[in-house]
Amino acid sequence: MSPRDANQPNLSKRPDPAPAGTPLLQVEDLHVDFRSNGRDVHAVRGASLTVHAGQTVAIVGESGSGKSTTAQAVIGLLPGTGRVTSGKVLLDGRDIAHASRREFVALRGSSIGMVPQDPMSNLNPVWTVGFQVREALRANGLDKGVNAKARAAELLKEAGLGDAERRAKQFPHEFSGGMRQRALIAIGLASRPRLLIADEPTSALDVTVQRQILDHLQSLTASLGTAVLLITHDLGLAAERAEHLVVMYKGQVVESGPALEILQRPQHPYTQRLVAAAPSLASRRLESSVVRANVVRQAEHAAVEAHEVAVAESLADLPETEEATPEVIRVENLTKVFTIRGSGARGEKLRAVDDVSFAVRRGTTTAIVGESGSGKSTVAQMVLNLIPVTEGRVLFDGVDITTLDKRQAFDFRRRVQPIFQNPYASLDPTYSIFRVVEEPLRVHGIGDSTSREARVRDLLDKVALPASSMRRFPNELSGGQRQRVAIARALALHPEVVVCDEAVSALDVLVQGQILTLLNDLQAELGLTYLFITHDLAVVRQIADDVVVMQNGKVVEAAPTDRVFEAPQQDYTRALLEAIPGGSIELGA
Amino acid sequence: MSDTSVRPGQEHFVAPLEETPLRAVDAVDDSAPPSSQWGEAWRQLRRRPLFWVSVVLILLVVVVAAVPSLFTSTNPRFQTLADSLGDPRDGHPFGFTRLGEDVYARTIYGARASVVVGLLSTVLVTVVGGVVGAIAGYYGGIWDALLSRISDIFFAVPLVLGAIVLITSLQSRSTLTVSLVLSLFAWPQTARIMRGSVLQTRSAEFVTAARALGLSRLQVLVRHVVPNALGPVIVIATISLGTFIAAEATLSYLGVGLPSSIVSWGGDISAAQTSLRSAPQVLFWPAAALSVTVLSFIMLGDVVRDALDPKARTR
Amino acid sequence: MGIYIGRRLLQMIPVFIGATLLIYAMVFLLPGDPIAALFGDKPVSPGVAAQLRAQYHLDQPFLVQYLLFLKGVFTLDLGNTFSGQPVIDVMARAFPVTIRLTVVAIIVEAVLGIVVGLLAGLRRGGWFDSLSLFVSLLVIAVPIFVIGFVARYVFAEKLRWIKASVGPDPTWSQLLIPGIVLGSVSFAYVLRLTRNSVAENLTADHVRTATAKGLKPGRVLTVHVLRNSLIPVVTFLGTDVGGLMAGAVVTEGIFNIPGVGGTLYQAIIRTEGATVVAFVTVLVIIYLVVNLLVDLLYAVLDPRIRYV
Repeated sequence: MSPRDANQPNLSKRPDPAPAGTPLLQVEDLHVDFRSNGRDVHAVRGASLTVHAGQTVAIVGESGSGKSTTAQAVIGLLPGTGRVTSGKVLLDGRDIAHASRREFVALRGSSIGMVPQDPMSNLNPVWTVGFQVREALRANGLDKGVNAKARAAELLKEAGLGDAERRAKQFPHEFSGGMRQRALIAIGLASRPRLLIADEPTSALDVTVQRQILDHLQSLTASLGTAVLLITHDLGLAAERAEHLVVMYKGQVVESGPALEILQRPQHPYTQRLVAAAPSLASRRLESSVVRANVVRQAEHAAVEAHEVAVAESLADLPETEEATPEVIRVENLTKVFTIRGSGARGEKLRAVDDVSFAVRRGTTTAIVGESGSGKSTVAQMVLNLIPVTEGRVLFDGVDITTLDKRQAFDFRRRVQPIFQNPYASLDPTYSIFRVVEEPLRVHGIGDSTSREARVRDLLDKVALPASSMRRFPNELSGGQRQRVAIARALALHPEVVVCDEAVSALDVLVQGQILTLLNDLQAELGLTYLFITHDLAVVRQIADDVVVMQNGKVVEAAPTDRVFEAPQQDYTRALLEAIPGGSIELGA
Repeated sequence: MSDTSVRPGQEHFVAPLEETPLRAVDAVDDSAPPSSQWGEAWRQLRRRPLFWVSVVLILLVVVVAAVPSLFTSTNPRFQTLADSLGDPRDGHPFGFTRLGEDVYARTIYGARASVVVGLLSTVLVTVVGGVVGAIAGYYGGIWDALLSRISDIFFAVPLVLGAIVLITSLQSRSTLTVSLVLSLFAWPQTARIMRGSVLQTRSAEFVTAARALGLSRLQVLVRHVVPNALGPVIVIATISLGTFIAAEATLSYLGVGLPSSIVSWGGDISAAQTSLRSAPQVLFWPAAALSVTVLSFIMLGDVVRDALDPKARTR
Repeated sequence: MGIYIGRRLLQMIPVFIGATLLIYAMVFLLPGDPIAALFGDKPVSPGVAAQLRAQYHLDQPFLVQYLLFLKGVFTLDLGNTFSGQPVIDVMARAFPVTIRLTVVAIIVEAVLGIVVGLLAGLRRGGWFDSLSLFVSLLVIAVPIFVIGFVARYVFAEKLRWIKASVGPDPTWSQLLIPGIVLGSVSFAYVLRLTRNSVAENLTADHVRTATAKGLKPGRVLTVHVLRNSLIPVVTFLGTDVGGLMAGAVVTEGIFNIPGVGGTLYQAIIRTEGATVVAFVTVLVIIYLVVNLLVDLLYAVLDPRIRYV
């Protein structure tokens, strides 16, 4: 079926053709309110945007900016108490902002399609994928009966799913995330809508998969002549895929215009900050090398002292090393085998980490980069001595941590601390911020209650939180604030090494930039060593001195950051680099 | 993307600055008073009329159970056969039983047995089920397999049936033995709920963070896991307090619960069934008291669940 | 699949042994002389007592008694009641009645519970939702024997639609009112479960996607919301079968239905150990088998469940 044919079935249902030059979609001064606890919350305040036929327009914003709400208003799917209070949504010149349920049923699928954000939750788990594609066809009066099966398989194939006929008979849980997203694209495009709303269509996927799917979506919509309204938090991705950008902040459009122009000459202060914070290939390590060298030297100096004290105190019974090694952590042939399904010797084995070796220099940041399933977090857990090692060694300051006795292990905890990914789960919700930060001091019997309180104040100050937040609870803080509390907790014991497991991945870009700067300042101030686990190469560039690239449990490449970025040696590393959205675009500001 | 000319409606637009006051990135909002998770739940509860209705009713029942003499000076065991099934009259607002006892006094005095059995069974079940569930969920492995099988065994015997069988074999019956018997067959439910709740909490990142601080496994369980896993157990405890009261009444109704020397609603309802046709009020009052008491606990459990679980909250 | 069933059956063995041992111990190990109880307060001649003891293996050590009982279970020889009837015959009369009663209860609670729960879940927070939630609370709170009295009083004595005493070999229509009474509490649970499940599924991402496809609201509701919401409801209904049969003690007593509950209750009061243990054992077996079936059904309803 050629793209032109594909458009045919809808023609009969369309309203009278609008006058030439009328945009496909015009949103004018849109206001959307939600009712929450008896108060109206203004989610969208006066947003306007225009999409022409066949064009890709992106709405960029952080969480809470109103970007998704705007898109949901266009397709009449505002959740819960949401309603359009004023403004217009013109589709082909016809206002649909207050269209009836029946009118929206007629529009959805055939005129406006949608590809949702999370592929894991957007397919009904109890029906086959093919059934769900056929349903979309039938709902819009296309290919009923016998043809539907063949057509559904065709659509899945078109969306880039191999072996589509067999796949159509499978259930969503038998698909990977990327495959599910392809199925959702097939559903969204099944009835050949002229406008496709793609709400963060790939943010839940690994970067390499993300790139493949976006490429495919782009060529597919281009050949079908479908206009795309792309919702994203990623400025780089938006600029790469859309010709027109709409930047939203707190429910308002703060800037809109041609993509490149916005990126290179942002006018509004918010856009300027967004562009400045956008991690991309163009960004550099966060500070000058002179300062860095200084930091490393200081850290080594501090370590020598710390080491002497440590040797004198608790590690006295361990073999003495001549001097503090510049390598604070050395991982040798580390392997972790998990038994999945079944138990004992008969259970199915998974080699999550396979013969991994690398070293972390004192006072520097080493990043372990990989996609989901690469084993990077498992390495972090073993370095933290939280899960047993199957094979190999983790040397901390020359001592194998897998052989520590109870007292030594307790002492080790004081020197190596973690910061985790999910700011919503990493703080005990029943603890006040004060208790969260004080707990490490109490556990390790440091100071009395007065000195501990002073120390907590000091720590909160270090992470730029006011002392008044001590009495608050985690549920009252934003994601970025919680992550700062987690940093304060990690620093309470004066650790030498901090393991950051995806510590900034869940944060909005501005907050992410702020936390990275904070981590970097703290490193300079306290001579910390970071082991940074992340899937995001752009973040690596901003913070890491050395990079370890992992894939399927193995180390693919390990080298200084600059070398990895400028002259990657391995295909996989190159693929990762190429997949960074907007990597090729020179940013302004 | 090849088309570089700007199309109508897509000219470069910059919002005037005053429209969007740019705040400092991610500042702490100092205006609201601090509140914990429990404080938040309390704020939710406070606004629900159902919560206050059930609390007032429960308090009333507890006071009646503690000091029944405040509410009546009539002896509930005093029988005047001349008054058998007598109509209500001055000083005896609910009338008389077949044995000529004052229905009002018996209804007042019957509260104690119900409340004591309910509280005692709930405490026992929550402690035993909570500890077993926490150990099974947290330590997993052989502990989990063993404890889960044991609770399966008790789970396979229906509560009232098991209680009837056991209680008929017992020599003495008192509020304590009835509570013990009910608890014996009821703890697995609490254990299962606690286990599931602990399993969920166990994998939270704050638990890993606590271990990385150097806390022992037991310390992590007591300080972080249990407090966070307690919500569903509190809900089920409140609700089951109501169901224990109902179960005790059922046993007494069947004649295998509390002995007739203890005034209880179940026993009175059982005795009243023979005179249902001629004097329905004799059955009505103890039944109403029983139902309202059970209802208040179940209602309280319901609103507490709503407050603790934002997902189930009515929008 | 076969391996899964096999493993589940293996897992059932310790639970079966544990539960029957528990019941057996409760009946025979605790103080009190069943033979003396049999004759009430009348004196028993030692010879007769000894003969009876031998007949019920009461002279053997406890574990031997239990093993003999287990052997009886598998050879369908469950002994005799004190009046001399084989227990198995008593069961053959009682179980069909209770099964019929349970079927009525299940149908009533399923149909009413799902329909009302669906309507309540669709308009969560509306007046119908509030009303149905309150009614369900009321049904849960009022003890079943009170509901039973009221039902018997209204339908049998005032309206005279049914006989107050059902008697042996009841017809389906005679069992309707008792069935509703028996299923009333579970109806409240089904209602609440359906309501929460529907309300939760209504806001599910995949339901929004289905709407975005252009499906009509009715189809979204049935094919996506209701279909998914029924998974926990059907599971509950399955596990409820065992509970209903055991819970029939009260209902059968009120309406004088000679089913499992009535027979068992009489046996307990008369401390007829053999009968009690046999009935409870069968109920435990029913509970275990139904649970296994529910697990298998669950996997049919929800394709995500794999047999591990």
